[in-house]
Amino acid sequence: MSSGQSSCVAITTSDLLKNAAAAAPRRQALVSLHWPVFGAAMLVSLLALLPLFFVLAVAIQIGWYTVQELVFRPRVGELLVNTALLVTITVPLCVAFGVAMAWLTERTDLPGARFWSLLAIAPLAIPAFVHSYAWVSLVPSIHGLPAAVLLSVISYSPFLYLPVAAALRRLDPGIEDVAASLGLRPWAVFFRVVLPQLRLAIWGGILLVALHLLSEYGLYAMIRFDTFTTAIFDQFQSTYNGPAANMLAGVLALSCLAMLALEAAKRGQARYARLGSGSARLQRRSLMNRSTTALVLLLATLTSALALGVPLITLGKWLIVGGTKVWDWASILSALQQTLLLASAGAALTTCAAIPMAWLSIRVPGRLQRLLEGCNYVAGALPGIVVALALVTLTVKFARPIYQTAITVLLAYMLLFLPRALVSLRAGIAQAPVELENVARSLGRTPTQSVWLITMRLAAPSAAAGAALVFLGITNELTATLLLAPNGTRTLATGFWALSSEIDYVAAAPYALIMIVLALPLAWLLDSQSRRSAGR
Amino acid sequence: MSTLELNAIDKSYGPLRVAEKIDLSVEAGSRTAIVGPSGSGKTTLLRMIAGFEFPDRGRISLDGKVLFDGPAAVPAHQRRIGYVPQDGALFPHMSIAANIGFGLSDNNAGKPQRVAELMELVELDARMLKSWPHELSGGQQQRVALARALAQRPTLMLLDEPFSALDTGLRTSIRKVVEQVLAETGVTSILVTHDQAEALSFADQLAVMRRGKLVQVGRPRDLYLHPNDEEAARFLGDAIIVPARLESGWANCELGQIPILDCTRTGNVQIMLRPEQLQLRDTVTHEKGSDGCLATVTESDFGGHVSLLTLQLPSAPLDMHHEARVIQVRSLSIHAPKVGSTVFLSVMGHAHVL
Repeated sequence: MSSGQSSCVAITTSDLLKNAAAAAPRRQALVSLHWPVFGAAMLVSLLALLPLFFVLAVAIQIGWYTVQELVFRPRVGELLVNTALLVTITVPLCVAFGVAMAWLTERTDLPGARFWSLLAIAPLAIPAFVHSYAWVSLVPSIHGLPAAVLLSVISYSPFLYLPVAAALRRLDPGIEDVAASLGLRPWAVFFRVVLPQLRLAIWGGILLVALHLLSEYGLYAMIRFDTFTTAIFDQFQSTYNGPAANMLAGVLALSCLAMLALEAAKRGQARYARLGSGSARLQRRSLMNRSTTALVLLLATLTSALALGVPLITLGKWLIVGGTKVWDWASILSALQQTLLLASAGAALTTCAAIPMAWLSIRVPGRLQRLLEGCNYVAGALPGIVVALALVTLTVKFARPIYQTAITVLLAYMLLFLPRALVSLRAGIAQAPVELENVARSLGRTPTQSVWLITMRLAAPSAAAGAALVFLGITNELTATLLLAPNGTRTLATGFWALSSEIDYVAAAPYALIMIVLALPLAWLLDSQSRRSAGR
Repeated sequence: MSTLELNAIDKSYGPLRVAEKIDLSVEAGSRTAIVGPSGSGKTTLLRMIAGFEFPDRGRISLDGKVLFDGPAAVPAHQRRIGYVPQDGALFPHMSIAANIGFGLSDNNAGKPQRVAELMELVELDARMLKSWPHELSGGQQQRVALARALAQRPTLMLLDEPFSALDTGLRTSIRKVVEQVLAETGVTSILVTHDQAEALSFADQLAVMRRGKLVQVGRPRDLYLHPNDEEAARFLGDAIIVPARLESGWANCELGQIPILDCTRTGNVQIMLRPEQLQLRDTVTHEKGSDGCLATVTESDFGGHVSLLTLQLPSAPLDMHHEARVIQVRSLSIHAPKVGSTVFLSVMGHAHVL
């Protein structure tokens, strides 16, 4: 019996060895082909881990006993419940709203689909804290979980709308035709065929929304809803020595890791590129009858009024109150210039940094790649203030020359907004057939050229979407800019914050207005660019 | 000109062996077809030749230049091997002209002229140069894909089921265009297909692949008439396989006495005949004493100019335990005997001993 068992084991082991030996040359060839990409992805991922290392280093420094004391207490439980409730209620609402809007604007004959598509993206142009501020000044009693959910859905559902709409645009209509021919009703076609193909986009969006819920400060602070991030901020402000806040940040990072694991598990192994690589036919829009159209238009108007009307009315009110004398052009123009410079440099840097990782995770998936990709989300999930303080400490200690320079600010932006660029890019690359890259290589282009000329070109709409999201993020970014920017830097967001902190709401209004105006044409650009490259 | 040599190529995906000890030699300027059922590993073999994937073991060389040997592997872009995939894989974001010119360097002054030449070669209207891939029909897309692969004057052309997405009539005409273009340019080519008729007509050399192995390689006519085994026989066309006893150059079976090529073989074997070797005559006109047997028509399936007849043979002396043997033969419809009638069957040519 035992000898039989052992021989059986021996066979398995030798088989394994044989397989390993067989796989070795192949892996060698693969690695030699991909090592520059791996190297780049590795470097970016390690940079992204810096803030987490910082938190860990602090935890080790203060010792296990203090850690226990700081983490296992009722206050942390309370914050966990708050954060969990916020995530579980907000995320499904965002998915439903984002997917429904994407379907309506991309695949139905909704009148003014283009216009509604812009309106669906527009809330991104308004910083979350401006949303919150607008609602508080309209309904002063607004507070707690319901308010937090409402404002979160308004502020963050574009994160679902954008990738889902982009994915819908690229779907092969042939697959839907086949499903219909197999006897599926239109609704069944949507739920059984279209929705599963949107999985990458939806889970990518969910991850982004959840990460924002976990790390937003201003929105929740203003409506007095306590999350981990607001608690961390309060700790920093009151005690200024790190341990308590850093330990809270540790728990927050764990929550983020849980979200990542969930997304990874749900992403699965399925293929999302069109099988076969010819050019797909144009999609057909489904027709809605008049009463459905009216109902949809009514709902769309209502949601747009909530998402855009309220902030605009509030701002309008303050602007009218202030008149022309609040427009201090010298400082406003300087803030505008600095914002544009930082945001475009940051968006370019972040998108370029995301390319190697996004490509690897789709083309050469594996455990290491998943791990590396995970690293990039960890930093994005940490609140801006943690990333900023980590960089302050590290640059002061180890890289004094770049302390308080544009380099450090841009690095912080990259770490904070990598997930935005990565999620969009990844979804775009997943839809560019690998066979096209192969053909390009057979025609004498190097692997790098093939990726650049074919895959990146086809993923360009998604890359542009990602870059625009990063640009918007930087325009609205507050805490990292405050902490890291060189002396004398004043962006639109920090200007707005400084003025509204002095309760000078009237003087702050022009800054908010410019932030919004700045982001609106960008949303339009985003929309039309992805349309043009889809061949329309 | 080019000669491709594959030596002992092995490749596995986990426990699944997709290529096992594959040896193949492709002569300069020749056309080889690799044929096999889907999942037999033929596309993987092609992709290894192209350099998209690498074997676990073995050696690939082209014109004496080693493309793969253990750790030494030439990447796809340095192989100058043309590749036309199943559905063309045209770059959707480039015009037809840009697609065809993709492999040509941008500072090549003759580029537009070369592109125009290629368009003419694959018989496409030059006005299409500004079109987009999605505006072309499937057949046109395939021609563009062929022109694109030819642009860099490849030493070897790989065609991965390039006709399978086209409809039957178009498939033949595109195949003719491809054959003609390949002949004109003199480029060595390998076609992978699961369609045996396509393979037989296309190739100078035919390789039959099954479960990761090349089971037989040779001239199409030889493989068709002298397959190694029953599976290969049936894969390359309709086959009638019956038991027989060999004696001094003759096979004795239910169909009578049939000559064989190898006189030295004796004993009980299986023999194979192609249905077109059988001749049907009515019982009245056949010469008495000529070799053959009687059969009853049990079914007649009308199919236009030919009909498929099902014939039942009288139970044979060699095979007493079995039911009467049934064979299927095609016959011109105007001569097809009626169901229920008895016909006389005789065999032309030699029987192939399996």
